[in-house]
Amino acid sequence: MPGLMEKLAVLGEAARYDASCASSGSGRQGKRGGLGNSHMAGICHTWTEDGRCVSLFKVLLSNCCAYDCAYCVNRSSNDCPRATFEPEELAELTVEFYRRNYIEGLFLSSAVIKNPDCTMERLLRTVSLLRGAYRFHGYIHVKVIPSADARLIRAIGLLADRISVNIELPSSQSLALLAPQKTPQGILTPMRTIRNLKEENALERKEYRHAPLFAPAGQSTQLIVGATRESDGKILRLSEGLYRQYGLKRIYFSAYVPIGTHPALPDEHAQVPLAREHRLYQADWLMRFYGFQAGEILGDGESLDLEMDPKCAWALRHPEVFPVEVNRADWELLLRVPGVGRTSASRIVNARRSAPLSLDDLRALGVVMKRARYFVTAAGRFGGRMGPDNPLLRELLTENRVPEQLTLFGDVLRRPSGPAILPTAPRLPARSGPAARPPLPSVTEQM
Amino acid sequence: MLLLYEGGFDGFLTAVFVGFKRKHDVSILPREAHDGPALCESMEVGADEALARRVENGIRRVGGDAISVLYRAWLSREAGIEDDLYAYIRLLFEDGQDPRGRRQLAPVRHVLAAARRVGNETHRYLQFVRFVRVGPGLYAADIEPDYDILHLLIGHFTGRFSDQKFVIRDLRRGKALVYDARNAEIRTLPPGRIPPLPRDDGFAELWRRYFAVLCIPQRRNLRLQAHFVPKRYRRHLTEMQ
Repeated sequence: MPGLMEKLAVLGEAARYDASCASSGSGRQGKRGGLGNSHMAGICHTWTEDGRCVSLFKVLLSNCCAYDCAYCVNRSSNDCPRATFEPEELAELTVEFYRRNYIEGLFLSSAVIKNPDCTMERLLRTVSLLRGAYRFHGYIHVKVIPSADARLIRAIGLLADRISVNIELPSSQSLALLAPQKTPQGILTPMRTIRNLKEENALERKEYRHAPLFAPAGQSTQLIVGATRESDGKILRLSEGLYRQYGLKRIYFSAYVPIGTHPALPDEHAQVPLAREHRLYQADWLMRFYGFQAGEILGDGESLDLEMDPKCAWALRHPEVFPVEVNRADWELLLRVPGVGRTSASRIVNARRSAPLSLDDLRALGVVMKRARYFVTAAGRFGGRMGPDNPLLRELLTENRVPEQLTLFGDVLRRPSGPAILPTAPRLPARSGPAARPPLPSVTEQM
Repeated sequence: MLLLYEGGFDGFLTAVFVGFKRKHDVSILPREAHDGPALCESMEVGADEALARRVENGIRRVGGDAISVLYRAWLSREAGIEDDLYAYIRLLFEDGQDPRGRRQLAPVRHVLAAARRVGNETHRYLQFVRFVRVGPGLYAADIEPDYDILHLLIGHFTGRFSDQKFVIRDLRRGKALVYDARNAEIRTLPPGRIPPLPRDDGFAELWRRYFAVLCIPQRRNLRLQAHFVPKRYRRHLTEMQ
């Protein structure tokens, strides 16, 4: 019978591949005689050696799984230590960690204990104990097991701040191949249920102010990147569809860490696709906060450029949009400039009300001039050494360049109609026509 | 005309009042910053409760939370911050609104940057305060903040841990925030060596073990971790002790 320390080590390690970490979105008030509250913006308490933040006490209730999903370290066929918490043990650990300000709250997931509903009942019991007997008012994020009954989802949602279901594999083919015990419907139906329950709850609370709150911080999900062959394009279009369809707060992308067990999975020596995961998060931010659509970010290709952030890549593909005059462009257009974020764009709009802005002013406002100077004018003045349509601009904007020796003679190719291509230059951006912004494609949900 | 003030933020506000009366031909400095004979005309200003409140209310009427920005910037105790604060307040009254939109101007930038530094330090302590149980229902923590932010932590920690008694000791300044599950107050620590807190209280070791297994070895990135958890905070962080 493993002691508490061993259980904690096993179940903490088993839960670490879930990327979700946020404790934001809920302004849960403390109550007299109770313990804790929630900070609306969330608070990260520490960071692990892999640079990821720890905000919640993230554990599995049990890692004795009835399923055998090939990509998962807890699959039933894997020979690894197994453990299960008693609800009281887990509640006490949570509360004691909370009292010491180690955490904002609990992130509770679980392997499938016998079947989805049985697992959900155990999760419900633990969370009820926390909110009830322990009077815990901190943040709670509960993972919903695919194919769970809607009534159990509702019961948990009334106690938790956020609930979520993980999609993991980005296509139904991959799911069928690697996790045949889960079905696409089993995953999407609970997501739809959660969305519906949120909407119902919003109406209830309009009529009756003190109606209990259902999952105030909404729902999120996770996609595994690099376990299977789906392209960035597929992942981004799926993400876009999910945001639209289910009103998700966030999608997390988790780079697949190889555990090499299935012919269809990358083997143990494969690299963890961290750069790709990073670009996907950047693309996700563009969709959520910068008004981009998935089709715009991807352009004609299906993969995100690993050498350059997607916003710069878009800007290079659309030189006709630039340069942007910062004293006149509207906020949406300012957001499209590389080096200008939401905060800088707002500051520009505010600051230019009192006086026209110069290039130096822009730097003071927080604009990253290293990138932005090639794409803006300030009162007509342009700060870059070359224009937005210059093919060499790509070289300047690429990150982590390894300096290469250019040859002076030989091998200089010249295409019949077009610029000279240096042998060591990367592929040149395609020149797009003189049309205005390209038409935005419609989104179809794909799985 | 040099105004040397004392008495904390209220003293500064009183000096602001005097400055406005004298048509702004002033430079404000804290009394401690100026020693030796004065090279120009100087005047000492003590904190006057009534005048300080007049200035504060005037600021509140114009720009809601500008006073908290000013206060936080003042807490940075950076050299010369008072003159930037004064310029900020002048702009506030002249424009009739909070000048925080006018970042092109140097004083505005300095004030906002200082306020942000103090605010960030405060937020970091919301993250990094670690309590140890030292008695039944009694928890203690140590901090060493760059700025004097102890009282800025009161609201958050008393709201969150309303039913537990706790003490947060500012080792650098010899003060402590003491909460007895009903009221909070700031007290000075007794002089002399401050006894360190115990290393384990039954749950600290559990937390250390848990923290160790969270890292995914293939994603190890100590530089990224150092970016978020600067080394100077680690002395009192349970998981890094």
